[in-house]
Amino acid sequence: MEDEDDNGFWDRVYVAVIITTVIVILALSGFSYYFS
Amino acid sequence: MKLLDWAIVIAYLVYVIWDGIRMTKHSNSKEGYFLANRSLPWWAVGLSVMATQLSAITLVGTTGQAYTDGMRFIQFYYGLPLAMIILCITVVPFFHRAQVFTAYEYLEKRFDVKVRTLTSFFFLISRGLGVGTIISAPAIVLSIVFGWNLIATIFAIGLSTTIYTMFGGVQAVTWTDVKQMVIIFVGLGVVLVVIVANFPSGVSLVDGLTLAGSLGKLETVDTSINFYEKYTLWSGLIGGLFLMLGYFGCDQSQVQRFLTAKSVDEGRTSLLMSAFLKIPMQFMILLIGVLVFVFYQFNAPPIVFNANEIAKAQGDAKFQAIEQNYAAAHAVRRDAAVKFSTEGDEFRQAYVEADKKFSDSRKQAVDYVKETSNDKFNDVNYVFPTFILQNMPMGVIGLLIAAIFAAAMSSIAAELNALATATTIDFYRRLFRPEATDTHYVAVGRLSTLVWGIFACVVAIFASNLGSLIEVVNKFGSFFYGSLLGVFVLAFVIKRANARGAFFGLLFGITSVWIASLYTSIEFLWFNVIGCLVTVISGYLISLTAKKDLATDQKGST
Repeated sequence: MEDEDDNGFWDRVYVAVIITTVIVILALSGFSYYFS
Repeated sequence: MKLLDWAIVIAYLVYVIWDGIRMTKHSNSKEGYFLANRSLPWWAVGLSVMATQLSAITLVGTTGQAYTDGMRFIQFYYGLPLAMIILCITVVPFFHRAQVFTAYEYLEKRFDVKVRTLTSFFFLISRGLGVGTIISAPAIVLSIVFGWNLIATIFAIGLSTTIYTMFGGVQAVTWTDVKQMVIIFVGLGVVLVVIVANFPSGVSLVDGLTLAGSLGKLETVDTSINFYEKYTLWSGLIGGLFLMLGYFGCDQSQVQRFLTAKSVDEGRTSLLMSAFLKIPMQFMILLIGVLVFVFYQFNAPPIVFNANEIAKAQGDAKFQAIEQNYAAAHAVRRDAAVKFSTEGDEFRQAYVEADKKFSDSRKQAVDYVKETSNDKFNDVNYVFPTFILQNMPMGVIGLLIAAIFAAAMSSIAAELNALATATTIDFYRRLFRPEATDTHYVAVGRLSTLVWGIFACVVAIFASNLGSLIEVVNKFGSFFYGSLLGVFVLAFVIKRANARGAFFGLLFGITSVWIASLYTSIEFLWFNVIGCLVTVISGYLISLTAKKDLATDQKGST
């Protein structure tokens, strides 16, 4: 389904989105913990 | 409201209508009017995607929810980034390459015209009624808080949006969305600063957050597995994922946004913009609600935020006694909050207990209103507008009302444009007039926008008197998304799925969610999972049967 000529660019972008989301959820969890 | 506030609101309305109408010159062809000639940059499409999702009632309701219930609502969005990735891999390239005008047009290419027409019909019903509630909900709140005429407010929001959407088409929708998002961000930024600046001297932002945190208002991750709890990490990640896939991937009001992008890559980038920004943006909105809560630790909040209900109850001796009790409880809590903030952790417990007593006294007032006036009373949506009116300086009130209008209009415009596109392309062109000029289809699109706009305003007027209708319409929307997603899963993923399976699978899916809502207490985010799974499984099984029938028929005929 991916474009053949993107050299895996979008795959790396998707991984970056997932990693960022995990970091954001962990940061929010830390924020809640810090102020609880 | 002062003259300056009115001037800002009127200037906003005039500018947005003018800005939308001037796009008319780019909207004279079918491709231009419905798809902006597939020419828009990713950042404009991305902002439009976010603006469409952020309705006025989301803006004022979310801040109100944070005030009463804290930040747990943010978990609703945890599934969004993953949904965007899945859509970037599947739906965006599929739709772009198929060169479709509507998501449902693709279903005819994959299945048949019946599946296309049924899904488009469900979209028109749910969104046609839904857009009425998008107008009525903020109009009711604004008219009560600011004392405006309800019908005038409905028309100010609904008809002004209809005018620029009708003339400028999707280009007007997208470019006004961009400016409306700027107004919303500026408004929220200003209110954030003004609230913190109004904390008492000696109380910092960190102190304020510590107050809120000690009462559990800053909970953002609930890892418990509980199908009856509305917002948990799992309902957000799994139920939210299915909801967002259904909403962004199968709802024409969102699909049309990324169909206008220049290329597949620009379409993908526009969705990933939301994936990165949506959770931080919702955090900011919820944080404002929490800071309003902190503000009211030091300043007496209204006993209930709906001014109409206060006016009704004012003369009653029982309510006056509740008010006195409430004022006394607030004074105790305020002193406890100041002590906790300035003198440290040893006063935490006293503050928590004072807040409990204060909450009990507010509950007495809410119960009183429920008993004497409205048994479904809920003033969450009134918190933020009331706070704005009573505590924001001149000019900022106007800016924030413009921001609430912008949130409402950006969602309404996208919905009207999508309704007009589905009406023109899926019904008029497909079933009645397949061969006509571009000018003809644009004229039909404009007329459809006008008719849907007027219909939405009429629904809004009736919906304002029928609270339960709003509930039914919203429920119908949530019944629909999971099942619609199931049809697209059948289309994209299951090669053996056929038209009959998709058609009846959709009907079974919607029915199953309806039954689940009637006979269980499962929270609504899980309905999307149920609808999708039932549609996919029943659709697949029916497809197998159909194949068998076909085989039997063929066998019989030889």
